[in-house]
Amino acid sequence: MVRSVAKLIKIWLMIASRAAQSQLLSRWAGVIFLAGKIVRFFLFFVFLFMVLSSSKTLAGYNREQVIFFFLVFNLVDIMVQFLYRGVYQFRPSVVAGNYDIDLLKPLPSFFRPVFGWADILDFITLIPLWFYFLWFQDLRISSLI
Amino acid sequence: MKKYFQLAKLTFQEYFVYRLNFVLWRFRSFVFFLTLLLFWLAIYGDRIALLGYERAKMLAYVVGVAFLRSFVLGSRSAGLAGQIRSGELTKILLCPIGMFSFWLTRDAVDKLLNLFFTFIEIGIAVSFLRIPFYFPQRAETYLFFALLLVLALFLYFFISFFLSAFAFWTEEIWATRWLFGIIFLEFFAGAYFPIDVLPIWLQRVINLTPFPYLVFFPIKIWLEQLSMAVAIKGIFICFCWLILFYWLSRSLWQKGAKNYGAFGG
Repeated sequence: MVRSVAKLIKIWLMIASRAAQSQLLSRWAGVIFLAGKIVRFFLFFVFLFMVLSSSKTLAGYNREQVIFFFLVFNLVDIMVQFLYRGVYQFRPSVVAGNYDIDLLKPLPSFFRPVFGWADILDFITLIPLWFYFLWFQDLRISSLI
Repeated sequence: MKKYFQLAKLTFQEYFVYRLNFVLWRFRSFVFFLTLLLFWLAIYGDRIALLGYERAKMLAYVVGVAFLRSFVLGSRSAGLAGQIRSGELTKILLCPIGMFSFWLTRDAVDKLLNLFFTFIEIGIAVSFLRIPFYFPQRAETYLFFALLLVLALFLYFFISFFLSAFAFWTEEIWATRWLFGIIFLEFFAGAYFPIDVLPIWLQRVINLTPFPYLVFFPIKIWLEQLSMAVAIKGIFICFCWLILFYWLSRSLWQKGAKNYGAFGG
């Protein structure tokens, strides 16, 4: 069991590395995607601040709780997208008949459709987000002490 | 005209090849609409007004977003980019049909079909949640709204066509479309929340783009929150954007089509 999980992790690392190389081939596209992710995060953040500045609470939650909720949502969302981006490619793969090639490989049949593409751009976005999340938590804890 | 009618018929049939796909697509749109509606209902709670919007007007805004998403932002012309990259465009180029007319016909079917289901979905949500809906009091509001709606429809078509035509020169068309055709478009058009709840400096930046005329301005006209002079000015600016994007997409298409080549089977 442990050996087969270790084998799958090793394969996933290889797949993720190739996916990253493929994505970074076009740096311009990478920059555009990153810019889009930042703009989306920033605009939602500004919107929440505007709502909270006029109402003080949002459905009973105060500003800190809303930011915490928003950050947790973003972390979970981006982590899921980072790991499971390949799911989007499953349908075209089945329709085109390319999934047959995956089925011939000595891997669990769900492995390639689920873990077949790790999104390095989501991983890059995760780093500052984790820093902000931890900083925000530290700030909250310090204010409570 | 007959060939375009035939094309519309084929496009209509295409939707029912993968029926589950279509049902899931509609379900996704419905969930988006319902989420936005419940989000605003939760924010308002017992409040009558917030961020300069009365409760009924904000809910009318959300319903307006659902309607305009189907009618204005529903489009098939994004498929042009894929056709250019795969070489499938050759098939259409060899047919005796105009490229703009081809995609406009497909768009028309897409919009009609989405609109039909959107009305049903909105009807269900509005009647179940007993949402008070705002109807304009002045007759000219309906006229301005209809006029801006038609302009917005064509403006979005040409923006989408313009973005797709970049595929003649770049492999990475999805990145450009994602940034300008999804992120900027949806936020700057006001498809998540009204633009005028944002800080003034950000509103000024957004108003320099064509996007607010696709969703935000039509709904503001419907809600009668704009004076007649501002509404006419908005319609005129939208018309200018339309002319600009028509020219841009036409020039880009002509240049791209001259360079286009597809080889092999």
